[in-house]
Amino acid sequence: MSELSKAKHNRIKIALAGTPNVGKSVIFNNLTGGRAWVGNWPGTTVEKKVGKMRIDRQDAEVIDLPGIYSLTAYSLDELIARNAIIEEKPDVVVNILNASNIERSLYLTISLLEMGANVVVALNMIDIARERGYEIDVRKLRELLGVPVVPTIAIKGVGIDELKEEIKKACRGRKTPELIINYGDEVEREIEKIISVLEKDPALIKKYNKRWLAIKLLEKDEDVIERVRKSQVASMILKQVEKSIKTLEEALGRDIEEYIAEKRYEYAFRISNECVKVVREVPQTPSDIIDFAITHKVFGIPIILSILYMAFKFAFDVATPLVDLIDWFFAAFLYDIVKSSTLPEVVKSFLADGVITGIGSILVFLPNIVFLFIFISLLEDLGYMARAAFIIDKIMHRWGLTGKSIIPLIIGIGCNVPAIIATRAIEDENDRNVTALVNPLVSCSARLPVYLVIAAAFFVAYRGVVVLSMYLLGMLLAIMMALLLRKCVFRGPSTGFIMELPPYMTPLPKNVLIKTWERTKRFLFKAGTVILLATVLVWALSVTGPSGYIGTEALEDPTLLEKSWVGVIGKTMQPLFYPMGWDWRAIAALFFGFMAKEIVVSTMAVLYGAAGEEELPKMLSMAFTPLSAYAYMAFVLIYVPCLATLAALRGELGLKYAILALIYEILLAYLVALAIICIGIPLGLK
Amino acid sequence: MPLSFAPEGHLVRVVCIRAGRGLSRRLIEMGIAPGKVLRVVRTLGAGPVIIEVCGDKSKSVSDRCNLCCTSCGNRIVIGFGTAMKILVEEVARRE
Ligand SMILES: Nc1nc2c(ncn2[C@@H]2O[C@H](COP(=O)(O)OP(=O)(O)OP(=O)(O)O)[C@@H](O)[C@H]2O)c(=O)[nH]1
Ligand SMILES: [Mg+2]
Repeated sequence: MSELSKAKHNRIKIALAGTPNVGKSVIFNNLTGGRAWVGNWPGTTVEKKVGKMRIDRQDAEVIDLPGIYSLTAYSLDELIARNAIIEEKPDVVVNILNASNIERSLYLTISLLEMGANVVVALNMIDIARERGYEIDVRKLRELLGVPVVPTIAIKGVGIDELKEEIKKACRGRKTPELIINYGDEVEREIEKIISVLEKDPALIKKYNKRWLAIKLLEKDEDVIERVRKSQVASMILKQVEKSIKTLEEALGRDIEEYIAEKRYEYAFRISNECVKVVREVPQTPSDIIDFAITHKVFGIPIILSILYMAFKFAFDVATPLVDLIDWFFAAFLYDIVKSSTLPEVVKSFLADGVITGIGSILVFLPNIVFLFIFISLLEDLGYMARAAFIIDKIMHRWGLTGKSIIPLIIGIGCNVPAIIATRAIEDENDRNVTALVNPLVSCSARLPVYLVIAAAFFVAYRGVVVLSMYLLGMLLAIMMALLLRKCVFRGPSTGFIMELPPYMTPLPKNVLIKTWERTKRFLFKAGTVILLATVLVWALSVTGPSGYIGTEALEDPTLLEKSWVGVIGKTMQPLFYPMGWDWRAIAALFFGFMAKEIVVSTMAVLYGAAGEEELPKMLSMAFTPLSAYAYMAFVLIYVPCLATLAALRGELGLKYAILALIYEILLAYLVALAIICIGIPLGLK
Repeated sequence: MPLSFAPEGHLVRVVCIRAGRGLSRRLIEMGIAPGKVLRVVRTLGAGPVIIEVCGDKSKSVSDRCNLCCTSCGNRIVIGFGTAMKILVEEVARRE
């Protein structure tokens, strides 16, 4: 079978399998030099990721997979992993175990061995096992499993070379002996019977291990049943299976599927008991003490909010000089060079009033955005995500969601696109759909420049509070909208969630930097493509109009600008926003902002003819009142997901739900902005 | 009583799991089967719980756990919906 797949793809395939959060992605990066996303919570990887590794002067394909506990999938990401192992039949499966949690890791190892996979075991996180006072007898483990076992500390690169050696050896075709667990006489007898029927289809048992097939059929594995259905003796096989299940369930007096799972777990427990010794007693760890505060019933949420607020405030204060520097570079230095050059007037305006003003108005906030990215990366690596799922569950289940939904919502603060994909790790289908649909309401980094510009114009003294209020508003609306969707569209009880709680870890500077850089790169790429194009478009539509070319003076003269295409767009839409009292230029900015929300700022910068983070707020303070500006911020937060987010929603949920998201967001944005005005005016706010 | 109502710091034994096929199976695969002893590390009172799996039916507490499981450290968060489906009985008070 391994010869066959090699001939087909002419390339060796190595899959990484293991329980969630054991360090598969770190090992993948070590083996391939790749940059798979690494984070300290179960469910970081939700997609297959392929890399390359040299084996005997040949390129081998290494596949990083989402975490799984067994070969029976329970959520979408697990299905991806399961299919990669069962269908694609990798030549070698590197099974990564958590040394500090062997018994739970071994369940999968046993399942893989039963299947007859060519397994190499990496015993990862031995540093944590030692910290907890465990000593693991590697030789014994090797003996009991009958496969190579390599102890590793992936984050330090310990044991990686040995692992590579073992993988190479396994690639050269050493077949692992299949593991046989005795499930008890009665079950074994039925397994025999099923096998004898299976043997009537040689094609089937050539493809899969027959004992494994028989066990899986007893376990009522739907996917395996489907496969067997294609056989020409399907009816015979299935009849025998049905009979066996009936006999066994009567004899055992319980569900056969659970019985088999329990037996397998018992076996794992026995192996772990034989290989793991407690050599040292470990009293309460610092992790326990931190957990006591973070997971506190009453103080858990306030504690984390105040930590975040202080961190934010600190970072923004630190960022200020950097922001000023970038501001000077674009608004003064570059702008003046172009303006005082001898280029033709149109080109000068295009470069200075269009490109430099537009792009500069976004890039000034690069330091703030980078700090935001650092925070999210730190939260991911510390191990906070699973704790957040715990404390928020108490609130979320009342709203018809599960605590696990908070993880994609937190990731959304960086960018909604990966966050929507991350919902795959949520088990319940309704929960997953709802979490993806409300995700665009979470304030992503693209909206930060809008808040910062407006806060600088109106709320200098309360800048931190005002910006934070937008984030909270986004979260609140997301949760409320989720309730509504759960009650109206995706009905039915939630099955809840189960998730291992990873230990707190000190974030590795390297990993935090890589992740921050990857996110920043995406932002810079966007600035250089979509935002740049939009800015050019806005400039072009500002200097031309229904009457033809107006001239670059339009950008300095508002009455002239009204006659441009942008003026037409803004003026046409203005009556819609009559109650909010927004300037038509701000409304035109909303029009262009559907491509990416940063474009709201760059468009305003071009239209108000103001570059940088000092000029623009000054112009805005004339065009808005504080109240209408706050309503505008809320509107930008909520209205339409950006194009990339819509595409992600379409990919995960289909076109229908992407359109649903688009429509509900526009309506919600309008309602919220209106509500802010309607509540604000009677309160005497302006 | 449902696991959701079990008091913090107590040891409980799983009596039965009243859940659909997929969920019961997943719980067993993670070591939460009828007969197992769990330590309730944290509860929010009629909400989600954090537990540690301490041992099997033969012994009240596993060989591996010293200090009555504080050093086990392999904790699992169980959301409210799931915690209501796991029925447990109290085993002993800690200390
Ligand atoms: N102390 C220690 N930490 C490790 C080790 N290996 C990985 N980690 C950390 O464990 C966490 C999880 O690592 P990942 O590689 O993302 O785990 P994964 O198995 O890919 O997880 P999923 O994709 O969620 O299934 C990260 O915070 C790593 O830094 C190790 O050997 N020792
Ligand atoms: Mg991963």
